[in-house]
Amino acid sequence: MYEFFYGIFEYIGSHRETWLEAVRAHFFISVTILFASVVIGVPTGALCAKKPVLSSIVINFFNILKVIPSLALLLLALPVIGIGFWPACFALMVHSIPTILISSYTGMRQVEAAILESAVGMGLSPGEIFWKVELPLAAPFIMTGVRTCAVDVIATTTIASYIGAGGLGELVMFGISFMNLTAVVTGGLTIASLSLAVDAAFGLLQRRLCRIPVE
Amino acid sequence: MSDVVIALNKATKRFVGMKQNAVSEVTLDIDGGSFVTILGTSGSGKTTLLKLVNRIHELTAGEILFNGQNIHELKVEEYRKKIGYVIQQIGLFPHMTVAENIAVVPESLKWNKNTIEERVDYLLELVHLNPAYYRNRYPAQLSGGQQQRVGLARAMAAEPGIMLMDEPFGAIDSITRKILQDELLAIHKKLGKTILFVTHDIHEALKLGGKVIVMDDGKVQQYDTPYNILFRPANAFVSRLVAAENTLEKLQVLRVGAVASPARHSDNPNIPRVNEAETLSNVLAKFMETGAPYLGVTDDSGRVNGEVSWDALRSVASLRNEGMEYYV
Repeated sequence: MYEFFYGIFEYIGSHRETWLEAVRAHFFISVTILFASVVIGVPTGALCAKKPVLSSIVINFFNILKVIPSLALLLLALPVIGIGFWPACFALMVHSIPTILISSYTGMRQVEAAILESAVGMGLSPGEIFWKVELPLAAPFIMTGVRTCAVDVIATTTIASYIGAGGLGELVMFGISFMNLTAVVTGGLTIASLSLAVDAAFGLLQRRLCRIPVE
Repeated sequence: MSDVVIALNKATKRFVGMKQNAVSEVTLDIDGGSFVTILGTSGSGKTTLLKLVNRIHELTAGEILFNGQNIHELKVEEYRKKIGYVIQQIGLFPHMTVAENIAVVPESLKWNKNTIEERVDYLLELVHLNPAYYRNRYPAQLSGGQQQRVGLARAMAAEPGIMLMDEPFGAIDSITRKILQDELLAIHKKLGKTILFVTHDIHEALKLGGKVIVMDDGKVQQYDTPYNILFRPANAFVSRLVAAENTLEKLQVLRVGAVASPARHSDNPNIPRVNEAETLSNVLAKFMETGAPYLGVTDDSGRVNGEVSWDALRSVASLRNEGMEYYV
């Protein structure tokens, strides 16, 4: 057991540059996907919460897309949008956007009617109501969505390597092709550690941002 | 200050898809500084009428004037900031402290920071919440009664010209409700703010209102003083509505002013005294405690400006509800 873990550290030590490059690429792809998903998902979710007709169309559209497995989508998208960084981001976003969109939608919908009525009644503009009331109250839901999504994205970015986007998936793929168990486990453990670290970071952020005392 | 603040002129509202008007051709004036209650059962149109005033609902026909201006010609958000709005569910913002809740409209109006802070403290004291203790609490840390006190303070934050209150004490226990009613009366007396107050509770409507609007079927059945609502009901509906109130209940909602006469014994320093704002039930208690044949009526400065006799008080009990004839 000890020797196995020693092997992993030795592997990282001897392939330092490659490993660092893979971590950097993995992280960069994940951040790009997450950022784009927030930029698209939060406003769309908020808009859906206001327009019931729009919401049924948009949410169903994403739910149908979500049924297609990531890998299948990745390979399906290949002939159309090619290989590399952007195609990988695009294909993985199909899965990450709905998570954030639906949590934003839910967050906005759960704001009590009485709170909105008093906000309207006291003469706040729709913009003021959104920024000062709805968004802060939806924030705990949105943050939960973003946190779940972040962990998801880091895990699924592994398959981005299949269409040449780089990342820690390359290490795993290399290990599988060359029957190098140490490389597979090194890649896998790095991805797992990254996921846990990001989850913990978002957990802290969530506690800082969403302080609604209960008692 | 008795100018008309709100004037309704054939105000009518029909909701989309409904066959009947929710509010039907209501024409009435609300005088500045008055406390007007709107009494009716659910479905009578009382809440719709209130919400037409701050344009939560828009008129189907007719017009509403605010200080002589048609409210549809005013910018809706600017107009609403001149109106305090208190609802039964309170609707405090749970992510903001008490002070932040109260400061929302002043901040939106870009008031100076110090002015806002002073205003918050002043209002908290007005609604009997110690600013030092409550300023930085969150709504979830307060009881229902305390939350509605904050709701009241928030509605008064930007010195509105009129307060609209939609069954504000409806969800509050009866003991706290009575205290809040008395405090609201005291605040009204102190600040002279115009208040339009919706309730389905007859007792509350008669106790709080200087004038009462009785609504049924989207129409105003009677718009009059509590005394006239009780003893001179305008029609069979109002008559039936108030018939259930017995003598003691009537004494609890009527005030000394309704039966006082000019002072004839004011030179007598020994006569027991009551404030002109006291309810007749307190006057009855005073009669029973003192055994005096009459009481001096004083204003807030303690000056005697009238008197009420035992016979005058008894006349209330023996007054026939003139509307009774509608019954048979």
